[in-house]
Amino acid sequence: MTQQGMKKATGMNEYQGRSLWGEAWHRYKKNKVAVAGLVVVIALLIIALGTIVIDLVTHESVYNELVLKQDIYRKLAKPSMQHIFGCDEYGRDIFFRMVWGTRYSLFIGVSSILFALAIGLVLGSIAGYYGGKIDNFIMRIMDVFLSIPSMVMAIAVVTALGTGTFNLVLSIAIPQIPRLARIVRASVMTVRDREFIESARAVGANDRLIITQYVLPNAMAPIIVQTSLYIGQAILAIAGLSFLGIGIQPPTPEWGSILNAARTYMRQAWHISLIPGLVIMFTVLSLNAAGDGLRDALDPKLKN
Amino acid sequence: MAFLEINKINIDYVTEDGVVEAVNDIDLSLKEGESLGLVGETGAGKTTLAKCIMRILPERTARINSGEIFYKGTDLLKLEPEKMREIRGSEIAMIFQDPMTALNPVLTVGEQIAEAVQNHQKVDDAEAMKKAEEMLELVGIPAARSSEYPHQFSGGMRQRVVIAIALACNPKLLIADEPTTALDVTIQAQVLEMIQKLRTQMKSSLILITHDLGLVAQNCESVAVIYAGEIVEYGTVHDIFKDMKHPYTVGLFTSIPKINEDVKRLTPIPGNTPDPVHLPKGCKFCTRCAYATEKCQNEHPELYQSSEGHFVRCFLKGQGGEKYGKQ
Amino acid sequence: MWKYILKRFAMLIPVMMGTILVVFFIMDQSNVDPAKIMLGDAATAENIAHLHKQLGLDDPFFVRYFRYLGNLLHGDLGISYTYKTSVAGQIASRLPNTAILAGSGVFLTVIIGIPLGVISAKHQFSIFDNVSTVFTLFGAAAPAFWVGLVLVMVFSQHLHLFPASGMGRGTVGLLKSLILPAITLSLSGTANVARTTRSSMLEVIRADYIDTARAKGTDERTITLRHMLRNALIPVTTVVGLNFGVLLGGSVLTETVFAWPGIGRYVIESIKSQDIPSVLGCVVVLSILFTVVNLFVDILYAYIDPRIKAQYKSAGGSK
Repeated sequence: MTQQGMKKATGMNEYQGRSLWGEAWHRYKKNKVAVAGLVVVIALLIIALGTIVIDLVTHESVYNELVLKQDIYRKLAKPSMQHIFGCDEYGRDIFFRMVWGTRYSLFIGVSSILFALAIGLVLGSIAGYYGGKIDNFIMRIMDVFLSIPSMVMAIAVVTALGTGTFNLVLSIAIPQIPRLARIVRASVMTVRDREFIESARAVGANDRLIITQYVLPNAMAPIIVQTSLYIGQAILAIAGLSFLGIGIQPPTPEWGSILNAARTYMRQAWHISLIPGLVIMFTVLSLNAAGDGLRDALDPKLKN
Repeated sequence: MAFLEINKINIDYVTEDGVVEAVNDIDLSLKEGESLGLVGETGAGKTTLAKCIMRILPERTARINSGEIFYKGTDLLKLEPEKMREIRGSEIAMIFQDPMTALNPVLTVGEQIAEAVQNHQKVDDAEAMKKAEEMLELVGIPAARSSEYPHQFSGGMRQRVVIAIALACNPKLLIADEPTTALDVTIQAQVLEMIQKLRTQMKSSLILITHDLGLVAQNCESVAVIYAGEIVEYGTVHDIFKDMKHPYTVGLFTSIPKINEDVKRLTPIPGNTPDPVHLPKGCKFCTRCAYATEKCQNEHPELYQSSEGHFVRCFLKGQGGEKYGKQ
Repeated sequence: MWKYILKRFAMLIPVMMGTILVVFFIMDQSNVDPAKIMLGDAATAENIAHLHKQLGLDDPFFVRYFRYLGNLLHGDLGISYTYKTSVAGQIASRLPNTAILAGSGVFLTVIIGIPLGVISAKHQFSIFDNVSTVFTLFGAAAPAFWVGLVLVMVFSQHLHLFPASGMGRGTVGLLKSLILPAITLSLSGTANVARTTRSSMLEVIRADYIDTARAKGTDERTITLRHMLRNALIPVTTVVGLNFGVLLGGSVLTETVFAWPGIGRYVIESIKSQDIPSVLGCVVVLSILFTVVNLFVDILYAYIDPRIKAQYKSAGGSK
């Protein structure tokens, strides 16, 4: 039986799915804070992509000129019209470093959570769909991972594997796998026994098809909400690791690693401490606001 | 002065979708020891009225626009909060609809009854607990179970606990809000019988809120039928059952099965209760009434007296009677 | 109740073994050769091979894992490459400092977060609620180490109220040096707890049993504390417990910012000197600490919510 045929046979129509998201968007638009958060997130994405395009087109000459080139005469220069965020200890313009650094926070944050989600989806949906012994086995393993504080786990991973970008993604992703698996499992369990799953089973769909075509699409809402909220956490974790000197290595302009120098030059240059932190905070704030808005839009009952 | 007298109460709820007129110009009175039934569908405003008497409406959303509630001559709506707190539980008590949610899950039933006692009597914990155990025995639960938590009781047993809490301080007025709706049919009769027995022993007056006219017939002396926040028919149980006037009352009556008549089909009232944010301009029942005329759609009927002490809010049935009003 | 506690302790053992297995496995992926580090650059291939044999580094993974586990039972976490002394000793001398900091962090989280949440919920949409909501949003989004930096700039460098780093001596000195790091460490947790308390209070405020309590004439204070808060605390307890893990992770950053002589700072030092046994030991100790604290939270949970106790009773089949 074709997938279309199966969908018809089980009486699940596309319209219902769309109306859920259409309805959610309608509610989302009314939430000003959430819309503001979304606008900031989109702006940051544009900045991140824009700098990547500039680097590709100019073969990183702009990057070298604006972001990497050191100038001893501007060392620790205070914010001014030329350098609105001031300069760092090597005389590099902090504004441009922040702009070029956007991609690291954003893309490592997003890709580590997506990576964790991919594994969490597999483990969580198997556990939630089959239940019983399989569920028990998977979730006990997840419990083991949960008993290691996530920052501590990230530090262990980076120590063992080294500080490359992929290792950083792994170190942020691994501690989040059990959390996402739990959410997926809970969400799958609420959908598992609904009638349309029964009817899909009745017309002879196999388990893999049922999970991917019927269970997961209907269990996605809470999973997406949580995922969006974890991205902010991931960005904080990356900044933390870089601040400790075990994340992205200099001279790459990652936001947290810009703060690394702050402690040494705190007395002479307050702006190195203040500005990158504010940018990180507003980024995470926007992501959280967008995620909260999404949750309220998808489940108006949760809204107080 | 009557024992309880409610004058022209108006209550709104302010919601995101607009203002909901939950209770409109309700007048009621109750003599000491008497029992009154408030009948109507879900959402008619019965519970709102009850919570208004207790003054436990949600402060932020509910608005009492006008009206007076005289209890033994004092207007409850003008009382200091602390004075009102003293009246709640000791003078006026309330039994709630759903026993599964009406008890605090983290306190033992004994503690919950004892708290009602200590709210109004200066007794120590041991004495309050002794009183709580007595109350449990009174509602048919062994005193030994006072240290158990609500989740260890069945629905019917929990409702007995709720009754024990309400009656712990011998209230003069008991408001029972659909006390048996959430219970199994077999237990409904037992619980209601117990409420009746105990309140007669304690000489309390009763306001019984229900959607079941049958319960009112068995337990009350007078009845007010409420539709969309207003009284549509009001009188003694005798009058109303002998000669029901309002098409809505008739509809409520014919939609319950009767044992002694051979009815092939029950006649439900067509349609639903109107959207409380957009109520019809004229008679609120006109959208569902088989007899509705153009006048019904445009003009709002008064409460007419059709016979001595029997009032009805209907142009057709009440016409010719005197207007209801207080002298 | 005792049976429940014992059972929870018994369940702890396999989880701990699993936790150590995971940590041990991750750290085993390191390509740092301890023998080279211990012997320095002058080491010959022969010396290295000899030391490998001596330390059992060439044994199969599970042999080494169980040996580590066995040694751990005797309180032996191996020898630090840099300090050349026992890792357990190094950790033991720093653990109290981390415990003081983390303990103060939890304390602040609870005594600030819960009242904030309660008052916000009781006065929903008031100015207090709005300010507190903004605080929780910012608190959850601010990088803790940055907040630490800003606090140092304001309160140490400008106002000279508190020391910028280190751990002070004597009660007053200790307290003065503790305030900024404790605030830094507790900020995100406080925000989290306030938020959870508020939303769970808002759920409870509308519960039917609150109407019941009002209807029997209970005063507002008792309603808030006895009826609302006790129920609202059930989810909050979980958040406080989970937040302890965040706090332990955050202590690594906070201890670095404030040069606080605890385990977190030891980890970072050890990473920089590639002192694998020390890093492993710290990660194991922090994980054990987290697991034990969460066990206590679970027991506390059963104490607050009688339904949990009952579940265990019915599952255990005896009273």
